[in-house]
Amino acid sequence: MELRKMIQLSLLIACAIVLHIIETMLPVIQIFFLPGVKLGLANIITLLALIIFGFRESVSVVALRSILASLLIGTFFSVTFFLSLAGALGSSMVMGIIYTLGKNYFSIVVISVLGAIFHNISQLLLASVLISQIEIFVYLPYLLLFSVPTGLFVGLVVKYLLIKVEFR
Amino acid sequence: MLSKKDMIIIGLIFALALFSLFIFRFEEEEGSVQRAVIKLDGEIIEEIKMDDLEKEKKIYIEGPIGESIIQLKEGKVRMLESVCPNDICVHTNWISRPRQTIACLPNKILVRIIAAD
Repeated sequence: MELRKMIQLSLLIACAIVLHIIETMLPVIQIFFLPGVKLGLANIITLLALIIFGFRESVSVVALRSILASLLIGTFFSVTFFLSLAGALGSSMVMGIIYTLGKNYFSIVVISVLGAIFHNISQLLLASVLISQIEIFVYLPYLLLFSVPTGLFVGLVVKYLLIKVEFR
Repeated sequence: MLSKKDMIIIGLIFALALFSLFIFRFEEEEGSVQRAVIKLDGEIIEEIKMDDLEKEKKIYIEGPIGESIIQLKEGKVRMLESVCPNDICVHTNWISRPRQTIACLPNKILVRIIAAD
């Protein structure tokens, strides 16, 4: 791997870890009876890695970020860790596939919203396996509603980052 | 900010999300008797009628990682205390309407309100 790319990737991972930890420090927004709505700040870096480097790199950034951040927070190998890993991997893979196949059809913002949606779906899939009951999917419609604004936010951040900041 | 195409796609996604809200709504029949169903690891361990709950009631559940306490009071249910580290279930607070759910993933507990006759 080229040295420059390696350094850039590690910087991206470092940024993602910081954002991930900041997010766990933010108070969890409690709306209705939902288990907690989050912004998905670390997803900004996932999208950036996907656009600058590509599918494989973005998935590895996501995996390393989840593992290292959980080690720093102290949730490694707990339920929280597996849930966050499942959500992050699910959304990054879906975003990667959509981006590589249809970047001419879908803009970054739309891909970000879809990523937020699949974050919730993969997280709920794992949660239903962990708790061994499918009823947990009652959360899905509410979470889907909230993934639109949060996905929009992340997508817009990435869009303007790409305009304002010069990468490379 | 957003192109017209983006807005249409995002609008469609939002509409789908709203639509799914109604699908989940019509799935269950509405009844007059509300019951709180408490499940541990997929099995129903307790089913309590919410109507005849004048006095406060506490249920102690031994899950895989320890004890969780569920409190029932005046037609509402909440997770009073739990051993789980993130306490999402406790922060969910009171639930009182059908389909509302409290989930505790670490301790594999699910509390759900159903309305059936």
